[in-house]
Amino acid sequence: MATIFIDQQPYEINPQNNLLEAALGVGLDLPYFCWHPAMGSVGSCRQCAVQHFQDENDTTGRMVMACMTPLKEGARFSIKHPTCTDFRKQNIEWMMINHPHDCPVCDEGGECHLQDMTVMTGHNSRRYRFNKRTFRNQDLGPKINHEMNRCITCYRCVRFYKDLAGGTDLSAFANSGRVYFGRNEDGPLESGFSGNLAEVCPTGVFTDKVFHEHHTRKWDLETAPSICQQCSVGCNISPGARYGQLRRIQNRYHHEVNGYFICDKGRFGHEFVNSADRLKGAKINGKIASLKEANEKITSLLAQAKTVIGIGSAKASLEANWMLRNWVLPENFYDGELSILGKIITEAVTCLGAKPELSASLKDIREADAIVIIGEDINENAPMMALSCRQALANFAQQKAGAEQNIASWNDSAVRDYARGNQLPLFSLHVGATGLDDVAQAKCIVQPRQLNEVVDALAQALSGDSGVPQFPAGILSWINLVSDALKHAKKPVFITGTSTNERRLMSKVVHLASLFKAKNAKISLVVPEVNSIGLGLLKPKTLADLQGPVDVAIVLENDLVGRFGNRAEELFKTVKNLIVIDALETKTSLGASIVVPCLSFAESTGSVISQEGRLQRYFSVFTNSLENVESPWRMMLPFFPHQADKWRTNDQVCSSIAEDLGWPQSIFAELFKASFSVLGHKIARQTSEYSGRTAINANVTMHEPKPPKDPDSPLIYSMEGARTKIPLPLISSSWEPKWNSVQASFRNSLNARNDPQYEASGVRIFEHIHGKDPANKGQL
Amino acid sequence: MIRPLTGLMNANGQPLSLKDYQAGQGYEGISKARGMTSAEIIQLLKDAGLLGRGGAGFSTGIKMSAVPPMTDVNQIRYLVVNADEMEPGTFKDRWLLEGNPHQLIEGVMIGAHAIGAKVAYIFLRGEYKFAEKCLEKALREAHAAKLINNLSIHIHMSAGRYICGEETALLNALEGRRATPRAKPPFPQVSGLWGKPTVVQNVETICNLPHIIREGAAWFKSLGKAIDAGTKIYGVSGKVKRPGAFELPMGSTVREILDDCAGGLIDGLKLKAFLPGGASTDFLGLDFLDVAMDYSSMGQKRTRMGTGTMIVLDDHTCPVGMLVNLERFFKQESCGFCTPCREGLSFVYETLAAIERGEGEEADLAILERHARILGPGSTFCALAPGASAPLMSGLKLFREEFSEHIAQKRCPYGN
Repeated sequence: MATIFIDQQPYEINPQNNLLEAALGVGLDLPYFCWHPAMGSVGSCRQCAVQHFQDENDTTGRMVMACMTPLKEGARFSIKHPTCTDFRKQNIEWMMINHPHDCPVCDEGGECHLQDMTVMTGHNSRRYRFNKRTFRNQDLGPKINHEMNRCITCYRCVRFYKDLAGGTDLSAFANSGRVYFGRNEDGPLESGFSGNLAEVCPTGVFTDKVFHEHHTRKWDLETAPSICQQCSVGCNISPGARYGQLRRIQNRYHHEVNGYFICDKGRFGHEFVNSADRLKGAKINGKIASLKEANEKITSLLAQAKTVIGIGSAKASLEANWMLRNWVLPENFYDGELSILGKIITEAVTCLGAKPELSASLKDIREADAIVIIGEDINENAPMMALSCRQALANFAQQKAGAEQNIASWNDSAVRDYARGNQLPLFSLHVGATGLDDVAQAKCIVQPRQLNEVVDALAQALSGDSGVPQFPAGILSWINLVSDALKHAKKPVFITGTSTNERRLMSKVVHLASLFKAKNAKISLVVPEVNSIGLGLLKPKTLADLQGPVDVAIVLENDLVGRFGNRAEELFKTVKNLIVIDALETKTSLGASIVVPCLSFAESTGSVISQEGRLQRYFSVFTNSLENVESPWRMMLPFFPHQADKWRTNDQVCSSIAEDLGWPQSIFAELFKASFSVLGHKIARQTSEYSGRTAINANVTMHEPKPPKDPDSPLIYSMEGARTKIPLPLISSSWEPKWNSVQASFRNSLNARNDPQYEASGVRIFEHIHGKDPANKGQL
Repeated sequence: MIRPLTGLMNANGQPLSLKDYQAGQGYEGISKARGMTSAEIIQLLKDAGLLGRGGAGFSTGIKMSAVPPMTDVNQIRYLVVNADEMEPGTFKDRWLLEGNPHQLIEGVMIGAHAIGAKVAYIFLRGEYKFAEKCLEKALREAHAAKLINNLSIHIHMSAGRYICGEETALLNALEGRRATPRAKPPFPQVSGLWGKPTVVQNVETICNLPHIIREGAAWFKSLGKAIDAGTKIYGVSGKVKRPGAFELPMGSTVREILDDCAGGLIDGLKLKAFLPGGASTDFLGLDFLDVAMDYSSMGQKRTRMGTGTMIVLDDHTCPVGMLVNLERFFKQESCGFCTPCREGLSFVYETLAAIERGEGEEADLAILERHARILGPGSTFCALAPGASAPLMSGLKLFREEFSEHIAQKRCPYGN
């Protein structure tokens, strides 16, 4: 740490930061545009001008850009000096020359960084009396809306899309006042990370087109901290809802998982929550029935049945899966996999349990100095892991530029200019092309059956064994390249996954990493779904092994017919009565005797375990108007008459799960319990500006209804509640005085990054079980 | 008068042949340089006081000495010749490129030898098609005569933009990327072309190298008339009798260049002001006629010589119109990377154009003055906008009366 002075006040700061980061981190307001905490500085917008003084006697100083200014002990700056405040105001005037003056009716208004910065600098009257330049907008496909006239030319979009995310179809065109950010021609943006443009753009050039379809103001959104349900990575997200509809999803900063970004699956794949296919009530043989009737029918079916099985789901919460397992008894609990996948997941759980310390977080991947991806296209199956690999490229370049030329890591373009061509050793071995081939130093495409052999040979090469078997020259040279590169690696990460259906691959990759004991090698095992690992920890039998006819099968949130087609239909022919619990009407539920509705992830609270082994909790964002429909585990409660008192809340269920599985109770204690409060207040889901609260039901009743109860989370469906001093993992709507855009959260994330003691949310469950209570090791 | 750079050239404008160049001691410089170490050459350039002729006037020796010493013969360094001569009113490098291409090639060989570069690029203005032909022919001749060893020289035709004259934007363009300047530090000598140590030098600077190596530092110093060393190719354009470029001793006065070489203004016209070295220098008035045109003397007068190729403003041409034209150029050529240049120059141009059309307002002058002041060094990413503010700031002072007339009469008094 070092001490610097800003307007005569001393501040303790991290000297690795630039002045802008430091100033924001200590709570000062300094306007900026082109700097981004995940992309560093380029100095293009010139907005963060401050005055730099030689010493305490210097009162004139020299104007510098804070984002491009390194910090030294005792350095003196001023944000308030008239020269730089005047310049910052002038800079905004320039930006506003061509910007539309329609904030009140602009869809970005109210969460526009440009709007915030304009107010902050005090520019408020127009002197430019000439025409504004106008652009033609492009159709960028279904995800992103394009409105180029709003552009202030900060270059963040291309720096994210091209430099960081490796996209090739968005560029800066032309020069002077005509710089245009777009595609060569109209057409859908190709990158799977294009949605981040909506958050990266400091104004409304790139906006969320899905949100556009049912737009609402940011302050009218109810939000809660949530976890993305689209893959096994477990990115932290912030869904926003209005009037019982899920409107959009934004990134929520997580230090060790997704950082500042999410992928397009996560951002745009949420409309099923609002789908017309949502189950609104129970059904018996396809006919609408009351829940009471359905439950009575289930009770009678179960009473008559000899064989009852439960089929869980890797997409359902730990609580729901465990409740079903409890209901049908563990020996009748199945995983819903008709392929070898179930066994591979078991393998993954075994590997993570055996070597929990090896499991890499996305942050570990971002900081890796060598990456080997084996038998997986993570760009498809775990997109944010692929983006983390690309960030690792940038980090690697930063390390190199810093070590060799003392170029600061935040000096983004200088790092890229210097380290061009000096790539991170990233290698891929797969049965086909992958989305990271463009940055792989060497890729090797093999027959599926060869995967294991090549990994074995690599292990031999790494352990210095000369007896590497003969392969075609291409494969052999790949093995040599990888083993040579890995010899210099201090923090390599080996990534593999389930998608090639190679059961032994996981343990082989763990073996590779274990050859690096002293060097801190890590592994990452990609599994298909958000809670594949959670389900695997419940040790289900695999459905592929199911023998003989079944009287009753209860299927939890798993569209087996949709996933497996004929094979599932054949299986269900041996099932006398099929009971489905789901939020959506599916091909499976259409064939069920009894259908019980439940809430989706956006309306319920639950826990999931990511492929890293990180237990995380998503909280209900809004309340649905569906009567008697509850979170999936609560829909099963009527069948546990004796436990009704024991399991009133999610926390109580989790406590029973820990007890049942022999996990330490502390595991769930580290998530935020419903009893958590800030100065005695629950945390408000609604903003203090939330509108329409009393008006919306005025045609029904003049009385304002009480906020719905939520026994499962530390949040409240209300405007009234804690707003300050909220722990970072519970902040879902970024706001600070003067900061209304997503960038209000940057201050918190910067402080987390600068704090070596900062503990990211979620529980690394495998380490936790072993670390806290080694006696439990056998339980896994 | 000694004219080392142009004295040998053919009077008919055809490029000097290899034979004629060698007859005039051509390629003797490189032979001598091969017997010298890198440090010796750089020290010689420092001693000679060779200053960069692109306009900034920075010491060539000091610039080269910032390249990290070679610790391994395989280390990569690049020499880049900035032949993207796009400064308005400037055509001195063209004369050198077309008139004596072998001189440049020899200079490149010496420069490359001095920094240990095995690859050199000549970044040529897109319009300089004839120069390209001359250079290519000269390169072929030099190769055929086995004069070039262990060095590959590439000629790169610019896709064309003023900003490519900025050395780091030039490097980006050469790499095939958008021609926007780079953040400094790190300087190109440390992290230049493709991240490798690179020295970028102007054509005229490079052309001086063979002569300095051959004749020595003392000789070079003795060529200057005032403070700085060597000769300089000055130019005059505008309504003068004999516009053109002239090699004179460094430090010749404006009057010598304008009257003795360019023949003074066309009869009936009077000199009102002049830009001493391209569009990005200050308008200077008649009180500068006897100032020595070199970097140091002009610096002492708190102005810049720039490229030394002056543009003359006569008393029948509207100074506001001239400023409109200049600022339109700068606005159009802004690379669009940083806000003050991209938007500020548009503001300046639109305001100036309104005044020239007779639509000016009293408050416009304050807006222009504010821009001239605030677009100065420090606020923008590179020197383009500060360059654009030089004629604006000085023009506002020098032509205050004309500006007021435009605004008061709601028309251009010169009839534009």
